[in-house]
Amino acid sequence: MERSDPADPAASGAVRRILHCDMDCFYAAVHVRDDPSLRGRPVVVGGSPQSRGVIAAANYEARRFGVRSATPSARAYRLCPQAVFLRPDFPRYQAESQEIFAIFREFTDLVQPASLDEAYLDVSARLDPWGSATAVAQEIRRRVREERGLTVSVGVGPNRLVAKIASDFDKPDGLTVVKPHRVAAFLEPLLVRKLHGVGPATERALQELGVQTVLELRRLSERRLKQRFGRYGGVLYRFARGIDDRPVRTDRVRKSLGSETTYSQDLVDLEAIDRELHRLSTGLSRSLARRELEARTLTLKVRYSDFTTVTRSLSSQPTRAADALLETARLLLTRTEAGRRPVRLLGLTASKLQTEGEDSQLRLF
Amino acid sequence: MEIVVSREELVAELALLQGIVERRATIPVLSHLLFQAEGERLSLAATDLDVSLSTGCGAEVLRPGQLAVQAKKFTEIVRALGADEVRLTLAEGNNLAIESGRSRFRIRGLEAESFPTLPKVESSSELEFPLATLRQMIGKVLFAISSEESRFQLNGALFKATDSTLELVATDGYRLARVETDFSGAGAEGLAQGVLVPRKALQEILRFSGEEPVRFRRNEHHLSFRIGDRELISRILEGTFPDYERVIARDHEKKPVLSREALQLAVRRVSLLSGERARGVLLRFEADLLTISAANPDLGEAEEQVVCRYDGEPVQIGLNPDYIGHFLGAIESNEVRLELKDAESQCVGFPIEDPEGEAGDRYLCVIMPMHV
Repeated sequence: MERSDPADPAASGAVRRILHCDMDCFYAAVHVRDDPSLRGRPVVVGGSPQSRGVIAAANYEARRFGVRSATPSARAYRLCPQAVFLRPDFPRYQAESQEIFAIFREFTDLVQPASLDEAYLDVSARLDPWGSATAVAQEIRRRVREERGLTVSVGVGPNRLVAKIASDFDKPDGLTVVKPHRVAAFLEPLLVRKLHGVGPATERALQELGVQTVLELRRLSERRLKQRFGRYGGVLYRFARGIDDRPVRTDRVRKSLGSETTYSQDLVDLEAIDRELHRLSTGLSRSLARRELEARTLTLKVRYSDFTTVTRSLSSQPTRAADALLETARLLLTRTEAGRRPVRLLGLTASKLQTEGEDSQLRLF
Repeated sequence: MEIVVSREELVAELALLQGIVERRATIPVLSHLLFQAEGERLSLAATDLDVSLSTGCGAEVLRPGQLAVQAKKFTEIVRALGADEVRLTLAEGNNLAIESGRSRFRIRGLEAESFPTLPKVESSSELEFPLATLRQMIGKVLFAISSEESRFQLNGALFKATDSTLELVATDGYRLARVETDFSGAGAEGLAQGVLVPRKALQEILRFSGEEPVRFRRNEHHLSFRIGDRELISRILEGTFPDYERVIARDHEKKPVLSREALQLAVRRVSLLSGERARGVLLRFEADLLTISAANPDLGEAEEQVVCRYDGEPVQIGLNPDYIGHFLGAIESNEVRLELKDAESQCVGFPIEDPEGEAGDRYLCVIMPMHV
């Protein structure tokens, strides 16, 4: 099992605080910001009205006339002939997107872009100094407005599913916070199509089962859903209950690499634990080698049978050699109570990663 | 226990003991000091189980006794007191009453019995050397001690003695510092092979002052440094120190000589623009001229020229500016000599002693290059 970050709170069972930040009609908004003459007018970005292309984005002024993204351009023109039709300028959106995401990354490393204009942020471990995810969201909205002249709608929730629905709840320029205990009440009245992955086909299939809203979906058993939708049925069952364990993965340079194992039977003797350390370090060494990386820091995670969890870290020379990793892991183990207390989980994570040979300092010994 | 001590004398000893007490003690009693009042003396001890210090001060002992007291809080209180004398009284329940002038404190202590027994270093032979000499030697190598816990055998310095020399060597695997000084003392057999002294013990010796000599003893596992009434006991660091003689290159023929201060300042300035991940500076020596340069792909470049005495082939080498700075900061001579071969071989730095000055202290610092 590989995880995006050892501090991933999903793994520790704590409540996560996830933000979904969605720029308001991003492409159109960029044009309007840069050309004040467009302000207050319907603006449509996409293929020209004479072409057979479709609309990529429309501002709210244009949406009032029924123009949506993916509306054929010719139809958009019929709906709203007074609109300003603009050709998309993707390099410009891309540059703007980078600026905005850079603001997001000032708040957390765990930023997962979903497209040029939306991203998931895991701020669970990054609430200081703002104090709450809501305050972080407000601060992000303020920064984007003041520094980029654009508005962003933010949804805050305990997972990606809820955060995404929440960001759409009060668009444009909205902030919707769904506290963990309000998740069920928030989801129940929604149409199932609001759930991630429910497209027209699934929606029709659910309708045949008499399901239109999330509340109705919750009445179906997991078995029934799996029968009808296969694996996705299990996902639907959990989504209907507001459960979504998908981590926020950053596609930035990997910060850590590791794996952990929960044992079906607690490990009590040091010999068995040592065998596991051996297995984990060998696996970690292979993962590092595959990516041509070396690690400076190794972290051992031990969860005892009573679920208390400790981590021990040590930094040393960059390495990915299995025996060096094992030696460090053994040293770290001596700083835990493994062997004296039963162990239900062991994990080994490498961090401070660097490309092999990157350290240009030559050695004496 | 009931005693009266001079606040000033007590504060001086507490300052030394603070260096030993673990900041993040996992065993509660290790954050404590052991107090033992007997005769006309208050004995004080601190230990982290590897390094221990026993010391004390004169006291008017009204009632003998002993107690372990939380070190940090006690020190803070005694430092803050206004009067010259402090009365310490063991009250019920291992409480310690601290009275001075009109101030009264009562802090909770632990039974003296819970304090670990300090090791004793009995030995038939004892070496004696001046504290100032030892302190000077430590100051010249301390920076090169590795702080990487995984290379524990480098977490201290090698201390060696012969009948005529004392030697201290430290390395972190990238650079190495060695100092050797003349020494006339018999009985150095126990140090002929050298022992590894943990960094913490060396740092503690740097805190000592005064004219009294250091009396040194060792047994199989421990070292004892006695200075007056104080005794610092350190566990010997286990492990094999690398074969350091091998890396002290003797045959490098490119030997520029330059002002220590000019080099130090120029390196410090140029290193402001060295790279973040590989933060080296490039030193290029040509006829009587050193050019130091650095480049950071994100920020820009820097360059500075320093005059030097050099008539060899041009040579260049990339070095970590911190390593250069540590070496130059550890010495006091006006000029330094670097011995170089090429960009792949170690740089060996020496102070050039003032011909008028006292000889007897031989120092060198080996620094491995960086690929810049």
